[in-house]
Amino acid sequence: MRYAPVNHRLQRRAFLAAGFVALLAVIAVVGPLLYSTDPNALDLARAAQPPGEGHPLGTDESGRDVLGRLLAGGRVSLAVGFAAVACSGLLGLSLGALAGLGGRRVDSFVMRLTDAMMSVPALFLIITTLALFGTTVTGLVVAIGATSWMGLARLVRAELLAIREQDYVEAARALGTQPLRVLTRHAFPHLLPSVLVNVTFGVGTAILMESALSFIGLGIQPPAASWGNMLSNALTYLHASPALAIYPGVMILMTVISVNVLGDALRDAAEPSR
Amino acid sequence: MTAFLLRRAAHALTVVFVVCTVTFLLVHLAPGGPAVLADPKLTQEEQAAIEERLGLDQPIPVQYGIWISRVARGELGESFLYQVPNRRAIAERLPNTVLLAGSALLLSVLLAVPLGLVSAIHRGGVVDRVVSGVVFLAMAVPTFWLAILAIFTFAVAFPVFPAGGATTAGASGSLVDRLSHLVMPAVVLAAVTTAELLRYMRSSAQTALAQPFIRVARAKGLRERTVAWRHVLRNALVPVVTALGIQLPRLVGGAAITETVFAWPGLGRLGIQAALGRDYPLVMAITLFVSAAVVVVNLLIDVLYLWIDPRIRLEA
Repeated sequence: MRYAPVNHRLQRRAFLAAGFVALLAVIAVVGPLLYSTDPNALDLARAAQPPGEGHPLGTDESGRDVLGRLLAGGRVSLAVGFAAVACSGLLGLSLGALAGLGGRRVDSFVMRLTDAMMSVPALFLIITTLALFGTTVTGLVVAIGATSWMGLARLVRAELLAIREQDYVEAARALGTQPLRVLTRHAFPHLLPSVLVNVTFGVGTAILMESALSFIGLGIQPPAASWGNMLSNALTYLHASPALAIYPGVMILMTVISVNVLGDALRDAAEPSR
Repeated sequence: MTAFLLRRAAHALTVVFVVCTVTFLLVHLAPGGPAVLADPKLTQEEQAAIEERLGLDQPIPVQYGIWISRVARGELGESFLYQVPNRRAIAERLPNTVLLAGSALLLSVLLAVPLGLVSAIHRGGVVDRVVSGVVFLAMAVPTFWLAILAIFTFAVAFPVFPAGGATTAGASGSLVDRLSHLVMPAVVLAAVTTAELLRYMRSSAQTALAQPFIRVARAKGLRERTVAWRHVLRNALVPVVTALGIQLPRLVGGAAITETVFAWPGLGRLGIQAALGRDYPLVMAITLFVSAAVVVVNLLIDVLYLWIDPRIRLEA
C-alpha cells in the first residue's frame, strides 16, 4: 500500500491552527478561573484607558476591561459557531440522506428546496426571523443553522448516490443486512471525511455570520460581550480610541483563519489525490 | 436553448415561491401570530377585530392563498416606522443599493478574471502567490471590520475619502462628490466577492489550460497571449459565471452590512434598521423584494451563459 506524500508545511500550519482553536476553547471553558476580571463591570472614571495596571489591554469607552470582554466574546462566538454548525450539520445530513435515499420524488423536492435556499440572501431571512422571534442566543443559532445547511445536503446526497452503487453495499444487501444497518455501518464511514471537511469550514462561516449580526445589533445583545458588538462600539469611538477596533477584529480573523487552515488540512488528509 | 431558459425560469419561480412560503410560515409561527403585522401593541379585542378583517380567522391554506396572490400583485404592505407603503420605501432606496452592489460586482469581475488567468498561467509565480495569500485573508476577514479599518485609515488617519453617506449633506451632489463617497464601500464590498471569483477563475483556467484544444492552438503557432486571452479565457469563464450567480446572495447580504457601516442610504441598511425597529412589514417586504431581485439578476446571468458558451446555445 502506498501512502500519499504528507504536505509538511500544511501539516505544521494545521498544528498551529488547531493549537489556536484549542487555546480559545480552553479559555472559553476555564477562562473565568484564570482571568477573573468582570467583563461587564463599568468604571466610568477609568474609561478608554490604554493598557496598564489591572487592565492588560486597557479599558473601553465605559471603563470595562477589554481583555475580559475579548475572552467572554470568544466564548460566545465559539459556542454560537459550533452550535449553529451542529444545527446545520443535522439539517444537512438528514435532508441530504433523505434526498439520496428517498426515491425520485423526495429527491427532486428536497433538491429544489436546497437550490431555492441557496439563491436567497441568507442575511435577510435571518434578520426577518430575528425581528419576528426576538434576538435570543437560541434564535441566533437556529437562524444561522437553518440558512447554512444547503452545501452539506448536496454533498451528502451526491456521496450517497455514488456509494449506493458500490459493490460492498450490494454485497452487504445480498447478505441480508437491514437497510438502516447498511446506512450506518457501510455508508456513513465513507461519508465521514467529506462531511467533516464541510462542517469545519462551516464553523468559520457561522462565526463570521454571528459577528456580523452582533455588529449590526441583531445578534448577541449588550451588555453581554461578543466580538461583533465590541466592534460596533469601537466604530462609535474610532477617533478617540482606534485600538478598540483592532483587538476584536484580529480575534475574529485569527479564529476564522485557524478554522479554515484546519479545513484545508482535513481536506488534504481526506482526498490525498488533490 | 429554449429548454435551458425554461428550466432556469422554472427554478426562478420555485425560489420566489419558497421565499414566500418561508416568510408566511415565519409570520404564522412568530409569537403573537400574524397580528404583529398590524401593530404589536394591540389589546386582545383589537387583535381579534384585525384578525377578522385581515381574514386571519380563515383556515391556514386559504390565508396562504391570499398571501401569495397579494405578493404576486406586488402588494407589500405598509411600514410602521415610516407610515408609507413599503413599495415606496423600497423604490426610494433601491438606486443606491444597485449603484453600490453593481460597482462592487463590476470591480470584482474586472479584478478576478485577469488576475485568475495570470495566476493559472504562471502557476507558483509571484502573482499567483500574492493572489492566493490575499484570497486566503479575504475569505476570513469580516466585511464590517474591513470597513472599519478602511474608515480609520482613509477617513480618520489620512482623510482622503468621506467616512460615510452617499453625498455630502447640503452639497450639490456633483459626480466627483458621489464617486468619492462610493469608493470605500464599493472596494470593501468587492473584497470577498473578488476572492471567491478568483478561486473559481484560477482553477477553471487551469482546467482549460490542460484541454487538447489549447495544445492545438499552440501547435498552430498562436502566440501565448492569443492562446490565453482568446482560448483559455472564453472556456474558463463558464464556471466563473456560475460562481457569480452563487455569490450574488452573499454579495447582497454583504451590501447590507457595508451600507450599515458606511451609513450608505441603501435597501440593506433600511432592512436592518427596520429589523432593529421591529418594523415587521418592512423587513418582510424588503426580504421578499431582495430575494426576487436576486432571482431576476440570476436569470439575466443565465442569459450570459448563452453568449459565452455556444454549446448551451446550440443544445436542442
